[in-house]
Amino acid sequence: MRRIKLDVWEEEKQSSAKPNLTSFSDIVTSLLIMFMASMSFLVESGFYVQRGARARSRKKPLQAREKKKGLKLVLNVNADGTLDVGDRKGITREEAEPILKTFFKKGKMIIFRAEGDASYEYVVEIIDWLYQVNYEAMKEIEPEFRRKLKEQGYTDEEIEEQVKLFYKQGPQIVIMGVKGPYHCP
Amino acid sequence: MGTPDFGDILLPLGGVSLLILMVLISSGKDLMQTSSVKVNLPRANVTQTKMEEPISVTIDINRNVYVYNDPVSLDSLDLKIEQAFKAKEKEIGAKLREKLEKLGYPPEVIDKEVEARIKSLLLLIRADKDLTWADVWCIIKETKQARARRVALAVLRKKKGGG
Repeated sequence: MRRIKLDVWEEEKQSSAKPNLTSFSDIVTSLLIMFMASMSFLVESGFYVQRGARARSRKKPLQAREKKKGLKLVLNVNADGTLDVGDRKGITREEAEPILKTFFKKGKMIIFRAEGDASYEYVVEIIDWLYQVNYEAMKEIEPEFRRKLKEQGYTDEEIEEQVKLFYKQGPQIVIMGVKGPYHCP
Repeated sequence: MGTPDFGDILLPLGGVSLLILMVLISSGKDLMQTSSVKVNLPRANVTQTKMEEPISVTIDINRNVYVYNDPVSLDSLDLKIEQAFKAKEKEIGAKLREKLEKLGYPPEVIDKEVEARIKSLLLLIRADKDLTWADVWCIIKETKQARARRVALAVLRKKKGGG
């Protein structure tokens, strides 16, 4: 009697020991791939911020002096979503884009301010947009940049390296603070 | 020696994948963030992803400020950042010094390398997207008083097609 039971058990063991795992593995692997792909959207990254220095002497601060020389452009973000770019007040992004592109092409600096009431999300959106405008400006002057390097005798490899650096640089944006009154808690 | 069964290969594969998935789900988000204080970060397309072990300052939606995970008042923020920088400098300096000494670099080169690494320490400001610019600027302003040389605003990568 005991012997028979054991045989039955052995038989069951042999027949049911290999369940079909194909679908299980497929589902788990797909889930893993999807999860890992979506992780990239959870990784924190950021914008480097250049903060403006305060004037320490009675001399005019560097920003003011360079602004006077036309080396810098002041960009204010208003709480209503419009922008003040240089002397042009309350303009849209579309209107501001060509002005900024010209400025970025010359490698000049943007002095960035925003109204205290402007939402932080919107301010980040504008900084992000400035990076994109700068990238497009760089794209437009890239052939000229390559041509100049070629004329100066750079090798093709050196040119590629210089172009990489050229894009890596990013726009020169100095965060100067808040436009108008505000108070810290 | 018989040929391995397909099922024999899939069983460990499925098991290991399931284990990795569970570990990622449980700890993934914390691994990707520099602080466990929950904030809704703004999203952006253009980001610089290389954030090498930053010191994080977080401002949540209620304007509470944290250095790493420790709540601090705005008055003592510069002091806390200063302390965090000192601790980080010590930690990173010691690690780098040990590594370079093992590689046989001369002391003057090691000093130079350590100084350069310390100078490049980054302060990451993690601010909730629903705050106002003035709220965030108050923190950026405070970092000027502390020794933070490099500052970055934390964002998450924008998903394709908006959002």
